[in-house]
Amino acid sequence: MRLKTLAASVTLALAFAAMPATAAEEAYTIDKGHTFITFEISHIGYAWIPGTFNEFEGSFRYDPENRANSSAQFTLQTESIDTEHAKRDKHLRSADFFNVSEYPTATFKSTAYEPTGENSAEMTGNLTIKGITKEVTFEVRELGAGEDPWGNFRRSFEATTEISLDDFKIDQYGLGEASSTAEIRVAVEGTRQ
Amino acid sequence: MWRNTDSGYGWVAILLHWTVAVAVFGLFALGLWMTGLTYYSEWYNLAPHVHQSVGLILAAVIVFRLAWRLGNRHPAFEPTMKDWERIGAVAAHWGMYALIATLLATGYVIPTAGGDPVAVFDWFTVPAIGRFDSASVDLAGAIHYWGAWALMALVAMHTLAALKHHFIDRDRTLRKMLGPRS
Repeated sequence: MRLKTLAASVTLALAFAAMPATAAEEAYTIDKGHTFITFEISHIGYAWIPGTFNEFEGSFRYDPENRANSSAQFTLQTESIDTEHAKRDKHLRSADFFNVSEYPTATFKSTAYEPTGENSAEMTGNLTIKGITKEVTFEVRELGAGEDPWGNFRRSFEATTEISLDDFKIDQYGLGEASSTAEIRVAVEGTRQ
Repeated sequence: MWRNTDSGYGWVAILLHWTVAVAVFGLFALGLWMTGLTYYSEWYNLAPHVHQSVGLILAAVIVFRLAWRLGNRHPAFEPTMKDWERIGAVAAHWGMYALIATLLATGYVIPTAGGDPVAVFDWFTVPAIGRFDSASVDLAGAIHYWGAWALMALVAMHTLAALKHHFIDRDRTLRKMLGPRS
């Protein structure tokens, strides 16, 4: 082969090899049966009250070769708040708290994913509750991935953050100082599309 | 004396009327006051507990009252009463029964919607009849609130009508509800 053609071929081959591995970015749908959006808040400084939002949807993209290229988003139905107590949940849905008739959804959309270790990362994004959007950072633990017995490829995370209720004007009722923050923990399992 | 006659109420009907009247006034006042309580009021848990307890007892009393009403003669209207007054009276009385029943039903649904029983003081509990979703509970709450105001509007009219019969028409309407012999 002529030298110029060889050089051109090698350059072209190298160019293809050096292209960003966008083929490695994986799209996942959240498995609603194995994903939980939970929170915990203090009861006047004593016990911790856990709660969930039972209705939500979401998806995430994960790039195992370039983890910073990962992202997540979810939308939840505020009416689905559940603290295992009919009257408390009714109060939480009212204008004293989440005002679900005015604000039927809450959303999160990530803006950055920063790996901090082999199985950990910090995910920053915009959290919108009651129409107010604030930037939050979730501590993420990557819990692993693999084939499941039913033909899916499954990947799992746990993401936690703490929010101040005042930031989103969640507590219009006056729960007091001990309940001014809440921890949010999202346990996610998604199946690769 | 205990049962109604063609011309008057018996003591059972009279006692039932005034007991329910006191309960309705009391529950309305308590209900309105308790929803304005702050989280740190010592009445925050106690007031709804009393409200529910009295409401459930009232439900039992109302069932007995309706049974008594259907199984008893009803004294005749005062002969001087006009057609519109008779129709108005029947409409208002059954309207109040219907509203009370609605308030008792919605009031029962709200605390039991998650399947938990509701306590009557510390005597016994009434189990939940089924589970209700959050939209239903919020609707029950709205019906309970507006139903209470509607009932009190009818009660106000009912009271004024009784006083009209007594002071203006000077007939036996109010006196019939004060004793069997009027």
